[in-house]
Amino acid sequence: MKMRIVVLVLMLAALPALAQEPPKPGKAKAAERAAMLETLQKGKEIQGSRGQYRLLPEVHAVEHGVSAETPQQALSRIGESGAQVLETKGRLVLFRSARQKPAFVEQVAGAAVYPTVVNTRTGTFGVLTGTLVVKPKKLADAAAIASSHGLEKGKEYPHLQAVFYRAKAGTDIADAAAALQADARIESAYPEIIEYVRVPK
Amino acid sequence: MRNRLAPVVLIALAQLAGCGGGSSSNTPPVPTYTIGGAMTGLTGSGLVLQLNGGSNLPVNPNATAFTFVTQLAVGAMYNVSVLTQPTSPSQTCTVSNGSGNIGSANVASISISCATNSFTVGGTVSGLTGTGLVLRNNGNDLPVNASGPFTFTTPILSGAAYAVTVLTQPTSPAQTCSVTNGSGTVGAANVTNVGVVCVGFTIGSLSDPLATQQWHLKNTGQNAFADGTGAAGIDINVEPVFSTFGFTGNGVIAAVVDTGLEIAHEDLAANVIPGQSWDFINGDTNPTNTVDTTGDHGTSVAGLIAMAKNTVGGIGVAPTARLKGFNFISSNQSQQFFLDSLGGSTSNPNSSDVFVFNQSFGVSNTEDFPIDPLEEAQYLSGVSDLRGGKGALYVKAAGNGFSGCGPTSCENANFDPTNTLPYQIVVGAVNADGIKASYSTTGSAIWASAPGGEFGRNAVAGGTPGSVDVEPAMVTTDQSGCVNGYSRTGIGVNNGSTFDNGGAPNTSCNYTNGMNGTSSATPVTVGTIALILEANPALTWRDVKHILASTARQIDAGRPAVSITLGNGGVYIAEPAWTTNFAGFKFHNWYGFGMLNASAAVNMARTYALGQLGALTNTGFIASGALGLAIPDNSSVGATTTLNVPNTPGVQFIEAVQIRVSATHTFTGDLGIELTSPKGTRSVLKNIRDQFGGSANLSNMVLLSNAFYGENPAGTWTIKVVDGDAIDTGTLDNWAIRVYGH
Repeated sequence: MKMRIVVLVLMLAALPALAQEPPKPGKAKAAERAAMLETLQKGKEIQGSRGQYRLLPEVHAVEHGVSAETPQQALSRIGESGAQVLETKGRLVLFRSARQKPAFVEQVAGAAVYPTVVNTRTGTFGVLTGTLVVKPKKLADAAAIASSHGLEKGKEYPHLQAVFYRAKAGTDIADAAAALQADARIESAYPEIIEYVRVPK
Repeated sequence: MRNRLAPVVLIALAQLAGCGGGSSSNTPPVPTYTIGGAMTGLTGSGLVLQLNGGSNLPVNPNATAFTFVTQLAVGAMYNVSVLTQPTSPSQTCTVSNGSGNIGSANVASISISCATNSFTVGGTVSGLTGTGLVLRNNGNDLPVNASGPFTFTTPILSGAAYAVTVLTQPTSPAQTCSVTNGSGTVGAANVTNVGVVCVGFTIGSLSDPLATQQWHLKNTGQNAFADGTGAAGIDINVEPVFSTFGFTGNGVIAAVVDTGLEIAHEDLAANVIPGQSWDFINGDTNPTNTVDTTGDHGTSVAGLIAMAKNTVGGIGVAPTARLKGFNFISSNQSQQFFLDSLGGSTSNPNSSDVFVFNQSFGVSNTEDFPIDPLEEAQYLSGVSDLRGGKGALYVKAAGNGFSGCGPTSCENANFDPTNTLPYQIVVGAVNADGIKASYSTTGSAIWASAPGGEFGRNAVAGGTPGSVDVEPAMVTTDQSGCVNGYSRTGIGVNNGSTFDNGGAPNTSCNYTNGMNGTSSATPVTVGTIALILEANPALTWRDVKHILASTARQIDAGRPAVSITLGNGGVYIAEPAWTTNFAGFKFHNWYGFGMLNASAAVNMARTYALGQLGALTNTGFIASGALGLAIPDNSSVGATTTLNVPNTPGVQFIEAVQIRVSATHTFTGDLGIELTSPKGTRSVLKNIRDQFGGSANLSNMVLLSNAFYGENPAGTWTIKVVDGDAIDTGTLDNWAIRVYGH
């Protein structure tokens, strides 16, 4: 009898709270995601153009080829058929691999496998493409900067005072970004991070 | 016997008279002489010569000589003149040696020369608004620049035929000129009655078989191959632009920054600039989508801009605008590709000559994030440097994320940071009934709205009767053929509409009737801008925005505000109704300044006074400093604070207002953010109970409102942050305001 009363009291106490708290879209999902993020190993810090990031050594990304190809099929192509798909960003499939990988773009079975990061404020994943976006103080120094950092110089955008560099195979992107950011010839530098993909709207 | 004598007597008398004398004086008769001469060139009829003002001598055509019947005596004066000039053909005959005194012989030295007269051919041109009209008459070409009288430079001989034709039809705008009274034979006067009438075209007169189902161009209440119908008159009012002015987007380049562009499509190829599109996947100039097999979004977007005027499919809003396709969305979306697509590249691809960028895309985020500085710099460069410094136009989809959060929008146009730039024209979608499309994301960053349609389905093909499912969508281009595309056939394939299942008249499956979204409203806007820029190429990007805002049409005028009763107190107006700001502009978060009115916009563009907006400047961010204001939970009271914008000489007319907000909150989806101007205009920049979530707080989130357009910003601005739901709580930490204007 006492037990029944306790249960009744608990139920009554819960009623107002239930009435005042309609389900909020996304709240449960956000909590679930936060919990998942907790389980991921975090690597080096990286300063990106939109804030602070941490490398995720066990999370990687691969592009899937045609729309009919499922994310799992894309993983199978690169020998990661057992990996867990975390999310997709456009054509990029982000997956949690059993093995940790360094912070550079690898070629696996003819496909590029990219390192990833997590935005430390928002918890969103980002994909490091291996490209570094640099604003040198003088565009004329662009080639010399590339050379001194062991990077390949890509396309210049003079109207934006910007140059794209490509990290060579085996070059740690986080280290390269940090080195560029410390270079006195450079106004700003950050690794390209695909974080929010555009979709048809 | 008496009868036989009479002739004899008469002959004798005559002989006596011929001797010139009377029988009484015996004086010898005075000899008389004829007057005549040579005639040359006479082909006309009706020539009458006159001798001494009395004796008339008709002369037949082709005569080579003449002689008056009247003879004159020696010493008499003679004077030959032309009494009546010949006609058919009209000629002018002139007399030489026509006067003198009779000597001792007949006068035969007079010469008359006749020459055929020439006359000009001309008439009147009316309705000409284009350029390049050339008329032809018998090889004589006459460029005509304006309506009014015209005359060919080469006169035509009387009696000769004239035939006036249109050698070159005008363009910019494209018009069809036709000739009346254009042929005949030149008579005895200048021809002045040739009529040349120049007109555009009507939707109903087109040979494009699907055009009459394109309700966004001319809504007649048609069904666009869906089960439901729209409301007549709910369209962008573009037909007068075609019929009166003939503008079709000529000379304007639009870029479709999207998933692809089928450059060889039968209804697009004529407008695709050869070799100027770009495929970022393979690094070539053909962005035809070979990856997506169930529809290429970009190809359908492109059709709404510039399907060609021909005998297949429908037409675009600007059916002669030129197209470039950049498949940025299908790429890995690197920043380099972003810059390359949006005006930052002069080769591979060249996007720097684009007039209008179509951005039917966006992000789907549940937390705020800042705009990438390089992307913002590219947009600024685009409006500053492209089009010879007049600025390219960036048209952006608001999004399709309304549904799922109750009476207000789940997604807000302000969630995509690129929408919060004043350089964009953010577009919402309207259905064929003139109401916000069911999915269309709302928000104060929206500039205008345009047709986007609903879903275009048929119940027999799986559509849900009585719902938006079967209301008209947009008819546009699709991946060619029935294997790939939104419209395709095959076992087990049901695309929701008979039309999209390869049914008549879409047996080719080259078109779809299921395109929708702000993705559709965006290209409709791009097409409209192409018409505006053709009408007045000198307009700057801000002029175009101003014209769109000034001419947009208020729709759904009776839409009430959305009020929500909050648990801890008060009724909160979560989404205002239409608001007329202090400058007289009407604004609604669902529609911006209203639905596009192409005809009104083009009219305004044609007579627009350049330079009236002055230079764009901004106040810089004016910041509050740390606040830490508690936001009452689940209450309409909100946290309220103010900032003063000083009188800034360069910013007397608001073009856009940005605010930057930081708040600590355990669930940012609860938060509504509103701003009230010194003039009392209230704008909601973020809805309560939207799709934001998590516990990321708001970190310098930038939001934009267009609701204050035209007001003077000087004075006190009030921000109010409302927590619209229970349990989660937080504080307003700081905010800042920046006003763009002139």
